[in-house]
Amino acid sequence: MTLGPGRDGLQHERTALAWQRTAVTAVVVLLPLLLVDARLGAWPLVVLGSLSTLVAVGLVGRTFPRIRHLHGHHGRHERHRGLARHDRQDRHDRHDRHDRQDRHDWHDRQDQPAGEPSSPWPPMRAVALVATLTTAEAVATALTVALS
Amino acid sequence: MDGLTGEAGPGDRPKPPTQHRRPLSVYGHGEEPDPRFSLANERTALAWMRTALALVGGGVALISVGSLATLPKWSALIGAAVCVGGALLAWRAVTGWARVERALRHSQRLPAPRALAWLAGGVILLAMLTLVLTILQLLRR
Repeated sequence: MTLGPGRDGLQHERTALAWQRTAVTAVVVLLPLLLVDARLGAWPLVVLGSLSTLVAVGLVGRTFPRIRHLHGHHGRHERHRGLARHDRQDRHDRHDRHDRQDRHDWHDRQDQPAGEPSSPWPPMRAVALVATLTTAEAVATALTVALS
Repeated sequence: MDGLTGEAGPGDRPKPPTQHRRPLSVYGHGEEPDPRFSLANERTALAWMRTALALVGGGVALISVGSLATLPKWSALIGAAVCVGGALLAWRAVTGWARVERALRHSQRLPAPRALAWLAGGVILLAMLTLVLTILQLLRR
């Protein structure tokens, strides 16, 4: 099955949005623990949690190159479609040309010497590490609550 | 081959393995699959990741409520167990993505989503444990 080139852009946009949702969730999930630790007066845990939050923000920052990369591909398709819309004189010719260009883009994307940003592996590992950091902080807080 | 235009479609041209992308255990073998399938695999892994983060968030909420309200202390330990399950699931999402991507590159059958059964089993187990502890707590009063 070969989809039209216009629909290709949606694939990248959907993936970029999925990354954004995941990054936001990863950052937000640690914050309530800081409040609980502060209320419990467990200052070492507050310091540890604050450091973990900073590390989490840094790690989640690794998702931005991936999002930018995905948006970059989407933007290219939008430009092609935009050009075709504005030039109504030879709309069909242009459409054919852009259609071909989009098909080349499919192959360029696979041929390019894609560096680290084009692989979802590093940011995915970073988000898993954030989940682990949050869990470590949560376990420490839970033990403080249970033993207090 | 695209039936409408007669031109080559995105999945028709085999590609050599890419040596620049990491991890090489995934990208060092096989042929480049249709990008749509790779992106769908990535989104599935991210959905797993968000499920894992939701578990961690649920555990954090349980610990927070347990410390702010006068809930029994075991609720905090249940929350910690939920968080540990979430962290394990997050790493499972990463390895699951790699396994599926490898299968796509080798045109093999996709591995079965076994984590789904583990997730359901874990949630049921924790729910049962919470129910039993709550009943015991009520009987003690």
